[in-house]
Formats: sequence, C-alpha cells, structure tokens
Amino acid sequence: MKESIHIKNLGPIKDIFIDDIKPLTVLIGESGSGKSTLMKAIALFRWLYKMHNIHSYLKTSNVSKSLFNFNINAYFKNCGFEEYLKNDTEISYTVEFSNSRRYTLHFAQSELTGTSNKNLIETQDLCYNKISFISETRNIIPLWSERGASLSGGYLGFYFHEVYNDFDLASENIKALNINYLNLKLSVEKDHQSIKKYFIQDLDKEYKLTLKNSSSGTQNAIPVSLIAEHFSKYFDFEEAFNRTLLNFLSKTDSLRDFKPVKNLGEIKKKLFIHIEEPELSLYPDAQCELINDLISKCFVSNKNTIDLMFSTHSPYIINHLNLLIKAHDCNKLIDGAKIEFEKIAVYLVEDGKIEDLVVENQRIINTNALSDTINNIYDKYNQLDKDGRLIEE
Amino acid sequence: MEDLLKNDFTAYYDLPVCDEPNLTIQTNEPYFEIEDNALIKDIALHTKIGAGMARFSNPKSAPVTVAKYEKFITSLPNFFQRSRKRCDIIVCDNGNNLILGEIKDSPNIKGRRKEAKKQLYESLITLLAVPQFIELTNLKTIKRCCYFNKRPISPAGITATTAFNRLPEIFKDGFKMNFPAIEENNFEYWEYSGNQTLTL
Repeated sequence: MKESIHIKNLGPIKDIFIDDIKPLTVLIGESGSGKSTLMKAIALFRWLYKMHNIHSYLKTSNVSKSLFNFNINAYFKNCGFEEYLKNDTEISYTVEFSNSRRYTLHFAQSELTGTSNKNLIETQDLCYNKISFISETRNIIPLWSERGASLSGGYLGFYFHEVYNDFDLASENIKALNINYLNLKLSVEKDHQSIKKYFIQDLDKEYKLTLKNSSSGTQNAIPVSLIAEHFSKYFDFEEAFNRTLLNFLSKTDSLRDFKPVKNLGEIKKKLFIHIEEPELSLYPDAQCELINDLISKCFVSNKNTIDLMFSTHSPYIINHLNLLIKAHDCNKLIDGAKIEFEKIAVYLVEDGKIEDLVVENQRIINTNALSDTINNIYDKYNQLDKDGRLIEE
Repeated sequence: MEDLLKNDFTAYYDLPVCDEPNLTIQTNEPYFEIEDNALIKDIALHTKIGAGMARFSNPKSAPVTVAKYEKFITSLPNFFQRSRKRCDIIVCDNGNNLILGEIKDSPNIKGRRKEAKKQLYESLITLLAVPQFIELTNLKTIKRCCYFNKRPISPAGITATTAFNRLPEIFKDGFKMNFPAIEENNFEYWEYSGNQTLTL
C-alpha cells in the first residue's frame, strides 16, 4: 500500500506533494512554516479514508444505510483550518495497491469527492486503520485528568480531547510503565470513586509524585510514551472495529441485514501515530532517548503495524536518526531502537513547500541545514570587534 | 567556455559581445580550491588546503576551466542582469564534468542555502536557453549544480560548531540532494560543506 498526498494553498502551505509517505516521516521547519498543518491534513485524510473503508465494508456487506455524510467543513473546523481555506485550496490523498488499484479522496471548491458509492473500496483492498494525533496540548492531560470530572462540558479543542481519549484508553490497559529515559515509572491507580490517578516515581524509589506536579518535560513525554506503548502492544483492533460496527448497526436497525463480506481477521490493519514536537521541554539527551523509545515501540518491539509521523524543532533528534539508520545497517540496537533507511523521510517545511533532506548518495539525513543556527551564532560572535562594533562583511 | 559565454551567450540574448578580460582560469592541478573573494570581487584559485572555499580533486590532472559566471553576468548591460540570479562559477574539464557552483563563506548563513539553490537553478535555466551550452551538456555525463559552503570558524575552546558540523567530516564526497526542478533538466544538485571535496 502506497500513500501520497498533494496539498495546494492551505494556510501556510503553497504546494506540497509527497509521492510516498514513508513509515517514519519527520517534519522540521520554523514556527508557522506549516509542519502542523501538513500533519493535520494528512491525519484528517487518513481518517476520512478509514471511514470510507468502513463505509465500503458495510455497503458490500449488504447494509444499505449510509454511515457517514462526510461533512468536510465540520472536519476542517476541527482541524482549525477554517481560516486556512482559500478558493483554490486543493487536497488530494491517494492510496495505491499493487496492480495500480488506486483510491483517491479529493477536496476542491469546498467539495470532497471519492467517497461515494461509485468509489467503493474493493473487498481485497479493505483495511481498518486507527489514527492517533498526539498534540502539543498534551501537557494539560495531567491537570485535566484530575479536574476534568469537575469541569463537565469543558472543551479544550478537538485535538486535546483526541489525545486525552487515547491517553485514557491507554491507561485502562497499562497500569505501570517504566520510562527509562527519564529514570521514572508511571503508575495508574484508582481512588475510592474509581477515578484514575497518575503517579510518577523515580526508579530508585526515592520519591513519588502525582503526574500533575512532575516536571514539564515529564508531563509532555509521558502521554507520548504511554499512548505509543498502548498502540504498539495492547490496542485491540477487533474490539474497536466491532464497537464501531455494532454502534452503527444497532442505531440504524441494520443488524439483520448485515452479511459480512470479510472477517476482520482477513482485513489489513494499521495504526497511524502523529506527534507534535515529541521533545517538548526535554533536555537534549532525553530527547534522543525518547526517540529511541518511540522508534522501538513503533518499529522494533511492536505487535501492531504502525506508521509514525512527527514534527520537531530539534537538531539533536534529526542527527540522532542518522545513528539509528546506521544501527539498522549494522544490525545493532541503540536502547532497543534502529530504523531502516528506506523507511524514513525527513522534510524541511519552508516557504509553503517541502525539501527532502534524505541524502541520495549516502544512507543518511542531511543535517547541515540544522547547524545553521549554531554557525550563525559564532559567525556573529566573530563579527563583533573588541569594542562591540559590528565588523562589516 | 570563454568563447561560449562571450560570443554564443551574448549572441543568443542579443547583447553586445562581452569584452571583459580574465573571465576564465585554467588549471591542471591535482587539487585546487576556489575562493570567491568578496574584497576584490573576483574568483581566485588556490592549491593550499584551506585557502579557498570550494574544494576540487583532479586526480588525473586533467585540464580544467573555471569560468567566472557571476563576473560575466555582471559585465553585461544593466537591463539584462537586473534581477537575474547568477551563480559564481562554471567548472568544466576535458572529460565528463560540467559543474555550476555557488560558493558561500560569509556570516548569516541562515537563508544562504535557499538563496544558493535559487541562484543555481536560475543560472542553469539561463544557460540552457543557449544552444551552444546545450551542445556542451550533451557531451558531458556528470552534470551538477553544486552549493559549496565553507565551515565556519568558532572561538577557541568552543566545540559546538565543530560538533554540529561533524557530518561532512564523516562523508567526504558531498551530498546529492533531491531537487526536482534541477533534475528535470538532467542536472543533479549536490551540497559540499567544510572539507567535502568534489572529485572530477
């Protein structure tokens, strides 16, 4: 299965085309360059494609009622794209299978096409995907988990509640998790009212704190590791799929009509995890170790098939990926992590476009552009004379 | 190369024949570096390691011509050169190599790469309009647009710049990067930083 996306004129994005979205895709670029917009657009179209798969599955399983109305404007609103849409905004997302069977969802002139009954996905190509978006607002989770129950009706935005739901679900399955890169252990306990409480404890058992009182780096990193661990090893596709189907079939009274064209076991499954700046508030060493943890969970020790995409501002992380590529080439693990060169893409998002940083004649990522800041600092340092005057170029 | 620029290029663009002297440098040194000297506003060739900015290895000691493309464009009438991006050099040997080069060694690196890529691409397009340049490209198999960036110097005792620039120390050959607009014209885009050396 090959995914491609072409986005034109969406907020800061002018024209971005990714012909083959790799299992590990990393986006770097200045603030406001369009990294998050690109990642949110990809996540949205992956979700729409997932719903189109379920829609196709039901149609071919004799359920005549339609499950989705694909109200694209409501979805764009969730993504915060309302102010980004222009008359000439265009998004085209294509999934291609062997023998050139292609399915394209296309948005242009306020209309989404490719989801109608004429465009149903063939039974052999059906897949059931789970899309997770771990937003930068995840640092509110510890506070929300404690206070949320008393803030009935409170709404902190679509992406916060998405990541909170994934965190909540993950902590149903995982009651304790070692976070080695922070030398901490997370534990989930329930109080007498069955409300979950989150604690962190250092691995030497010298102290124990509630998560909301831990460092900002810890509060940002723990949701990332917990959700990744959950999707890597515990996420139950069957349960999630059946719940979606049963909800719909019972709501529409279609249970009797339902003649499954294929069992879930035969349908391809994949998880897509998107993370905004995994390194938030972490010291450089911990940033690299968090990436080891993520790569290990998504590509080495995983039971479920996962594609990972994240945005970052960290030159350490991009440089560290070169180590993990070499580790793979040498068949060596670095803290449990390695990554195949062919599975990785790193894009610099700039001026509404992307630049591919994968070096074509070596098995590395070109990180030179990320050294510009440090070079610039010392170039300016060298430019100042002893009296503090700027020496002209 | 000098004839191509002074006569064929100007004829194609309907410009007066260029009479600028010293537009090319000839060498057959097995190793040389090219400097874009901002003070004298000229290109200089050095054989001492570290004296220049763009490093070339010429193991067969082949005759090489270095054309000062920016100097050539600057010598043309204002209406033609205005807003026209130009790279610094064209390097051509008697074998398979044809190289367009942009050299940077100045403070405020940020944004220089972006500018260099634009200069290289627009120079290529300007040159490819000239039939005699197309003929020349047809004779060559190694056709590159290259961005050369000299590694900056940091104050004594500060290792951060060295640390952040270690990649070019590991890979000496330069990096071939994706640049579809250049590739569409049958050229490749390469980046050279620090000690990375282009072998002809």
